[in-house]
Amino acid sequence: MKIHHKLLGVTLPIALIALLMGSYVTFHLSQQALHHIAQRWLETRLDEAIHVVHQQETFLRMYGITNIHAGTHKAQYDAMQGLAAIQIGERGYVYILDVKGNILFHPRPELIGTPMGQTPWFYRVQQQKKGELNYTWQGEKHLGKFDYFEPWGWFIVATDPYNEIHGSLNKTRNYLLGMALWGSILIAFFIIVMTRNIFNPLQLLVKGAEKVKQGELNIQIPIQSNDEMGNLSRVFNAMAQELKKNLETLQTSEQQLHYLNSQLLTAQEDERKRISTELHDEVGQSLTVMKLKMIMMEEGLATKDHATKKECEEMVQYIDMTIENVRRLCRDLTPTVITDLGLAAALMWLIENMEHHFDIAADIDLNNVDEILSQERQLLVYRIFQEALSNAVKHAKASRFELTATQAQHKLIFSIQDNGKGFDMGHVRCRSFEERGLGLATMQERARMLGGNIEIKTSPGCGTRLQFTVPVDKGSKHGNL
Amino acid sequence: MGIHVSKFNTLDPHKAASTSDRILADMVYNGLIRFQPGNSRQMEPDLAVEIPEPVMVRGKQTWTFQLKKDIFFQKYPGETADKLTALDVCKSFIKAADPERSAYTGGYEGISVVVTGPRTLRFTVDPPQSPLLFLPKVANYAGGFIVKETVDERGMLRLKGTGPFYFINPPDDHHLLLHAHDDYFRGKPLLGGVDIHFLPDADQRLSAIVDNKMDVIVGEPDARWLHRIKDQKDLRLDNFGVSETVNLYFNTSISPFSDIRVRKAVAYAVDRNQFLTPFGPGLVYSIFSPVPPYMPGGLKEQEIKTLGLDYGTNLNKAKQLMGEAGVKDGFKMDVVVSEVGSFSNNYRTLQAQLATINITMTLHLVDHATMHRLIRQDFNPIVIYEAFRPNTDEFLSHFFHSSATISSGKSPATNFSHYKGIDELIETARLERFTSRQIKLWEYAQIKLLEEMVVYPLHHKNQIYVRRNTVDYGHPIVSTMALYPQFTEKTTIQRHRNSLQ
Repeated sequence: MKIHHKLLGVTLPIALIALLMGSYVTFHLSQQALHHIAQRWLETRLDEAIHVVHQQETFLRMYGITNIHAGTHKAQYDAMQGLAAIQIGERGYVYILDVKGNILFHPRPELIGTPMGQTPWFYRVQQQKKGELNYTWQGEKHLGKFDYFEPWGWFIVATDPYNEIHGSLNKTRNYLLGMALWGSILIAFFIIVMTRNIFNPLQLLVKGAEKVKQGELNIQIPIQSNDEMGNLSRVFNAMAQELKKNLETLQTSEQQLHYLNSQLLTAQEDERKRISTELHDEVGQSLTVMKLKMIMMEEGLATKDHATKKECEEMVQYIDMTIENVRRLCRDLTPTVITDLGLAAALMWLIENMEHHFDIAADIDLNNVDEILSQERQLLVYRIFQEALSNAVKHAKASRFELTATQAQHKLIFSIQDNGKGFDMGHVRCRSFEERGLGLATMQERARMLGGNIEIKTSPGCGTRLQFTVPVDKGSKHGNL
Repeated sequence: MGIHVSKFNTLDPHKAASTSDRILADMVYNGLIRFQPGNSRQMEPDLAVEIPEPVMVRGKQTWTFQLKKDIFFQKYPGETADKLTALDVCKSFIKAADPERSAYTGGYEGISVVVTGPRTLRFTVDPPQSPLLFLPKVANYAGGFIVKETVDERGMLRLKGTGPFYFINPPDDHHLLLHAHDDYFRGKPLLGGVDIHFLPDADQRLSAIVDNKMDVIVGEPDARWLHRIKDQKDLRLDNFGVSETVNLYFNTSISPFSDIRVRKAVAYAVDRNQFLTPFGPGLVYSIFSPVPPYMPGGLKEQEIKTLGLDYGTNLNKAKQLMGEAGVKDGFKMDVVVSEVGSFSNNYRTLQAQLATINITMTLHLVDHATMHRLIRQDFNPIVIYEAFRPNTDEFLSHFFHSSATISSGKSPATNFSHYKGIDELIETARLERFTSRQIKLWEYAQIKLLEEMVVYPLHHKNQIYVRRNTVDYGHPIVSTMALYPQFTEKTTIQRHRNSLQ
């Protein structure tokens, strides 16, 4: 999940919840406020109603016309007309109940005379004389304020349905919800745009880093702002430039190193070859001459001179042994068997030679290798196997080997598998060059000279498998070196 | 113009009570202010420069009027025209307040007037009155008409006005000829004069206008008569306000109507709807309080019914009340009835309804003026009277205040009931400065009247006039206090027929 998605995932619900809570709080507070307003409003309407009634009743007394029998009815009629004119919103109204709860006046004439005395709320009206009512009339909840007008025995009720009291708020509720919804959408859109704006440079940096990882160091991240992201992009570009320089320097150094390594190994082989040749041609010939002279000297000794003869014989034996050591040294220095018989034979000779000194056994399957690789490359392969075998015997105490060469498309895959104790590759890699020795590095370098790379699979107690691949040009008898 | 009476009651505007008298007064006289011709709901300055606002001076309400310049009284042959002065106006109001010379004195109690300049005068009203009550008293109505009393060459009293028309000779048995007042301050009238013919017979009036002998006639509120107008393409019917209120007044001072039970018995026996039948639709409307509902203080049907004062027809109850009053077998009475159709129609309807409770009412048809005279002499124990008053105070004061009691009142007017039970309410209302309370007091006064069944409200009826299409009154007609369409300086007749024009 991308960061801006995470950010959206976090901020959007918070924004939505905040908006909904805000809407709810606004709704709730507004509802309370409306209730208070409605209470005050009904109180004022009720006061107005009482004033109207009182005014009519007072008028009769003020002008001394209480003696007109129909005058009181007229005053009450006028009072009712006055009450009918009192507006409480669109649905609110004032009505009158007599002491028994019968409706004396109601804006809906058909309700006049309706008995309300049995309703539960009228009992409270009767008891309290003045107060507030929450009651249901014809299935609708009402808020009411009532007062008692004693001269005429009237309960005057100013009332308004809750639907109207909260009507505007109910409309507002939808509005608030709509606002919250649209607000959320807007905030989401805003956050998306903002996070995209914020993380777009970051994404460019990620892509840039990916390219750097892939070795593409010419990358330049466009700098879109002067903020921290802009600075980061700027630093990233500088870093990429620096990396590129360092890499180029490193590559140059590596090339030089590889060149030196190859030169060194070539020189080493040449030197080995020269030393081998010197040993064979000079030391070997001298020893042979020395042996022949010693034999001739022995043969010239008197029979009785047994002790000297014996010394000569022993000397001859020693010289033979020395000659043999020189020959072995020569072979070790320059396995001429590769030149004579090929890589497979050389490796078998190497194994046989090692079998003389160590208790090991090996299976070798190196068919057609000689036909594919040049002698120089065979020598490099030989040296790799030689080092690997030496390491396996010396360090892994391996006793069983399996050497294979598999030809795949345009490449040869060499492997050597032993049954030694194996080792911890990571642990080895953590060692310093001095502690690691040159064995692995030399093998790696020779594999690189072959155009391949060495892969080692091992773990403690599980033996070791070393594999390297040598590319082969299609259609050529020998690969390039 | 053909009118519905056979003569005028009076030529004095301060005594004018009948419709015909008021028609004449409107053409001859002006007020300080006037109801707009054709629209009585609007007032405007007439002789005065403007309608003033009241000012309190030393605790008393004062109204100061300034007269327009160059207003002349009508002049008789051989005379020079007199210019109207503030003194003339002052004298006119003194006359209006004089019971010997006016029928409207009651309206001017507590009002004094002084001249403060050649063209200015100030009224002091104590206690103060609302504009609603005071202004009609100085308008072109009843006592508000400005009259100048002079003496002619024979030593006879002669009344002069400033209006657009005037008469030189008194009316004969057939007509009264009015001449145009050439120096009329609003301009010389376009009509040369107005010839008012007495044609109490409705059919005769109709024939006269159909035969092109009349240009305008008073209409007859009779459905059959009106139906005949429909076919006359040259004629036009004008139906307009102000409505006259028609009530049935009981003389509560004499038996048998001194007994409330008898009055209520009559009320329960009467069906006001039947009074509408002769008039036809759209001309008369039932009322349930003495003051019609379109006036301040008038009570509506619903309210009266709610109070149980509508006295819905109930013959059983009526008979029961008659029995309780000891007149189970009824009684007999005589009444005079005007020649005017609406009066005779109403009395005949009443006669029939009273018969259901064994009351025998004998009708004596007289001319309109005689009826007016006789009913003011208590001839009728029951009076059906048609009247308009410009405000509720005047209405109640004239019809129900004890001072307005006919024959015995301090300022006799039209209190045919001899009732004095609402004097205090009328007076209190008159002094009340809050209009809403004033109206309410008027309402309570009427409730008391109904509760005691002093008066049984019947209906109010519009004015009906017929004119030839050639007549242009010079103003639209919505309602008129003068009870006729009003002839002004702008009134014209397109086709010249009358030699006076």
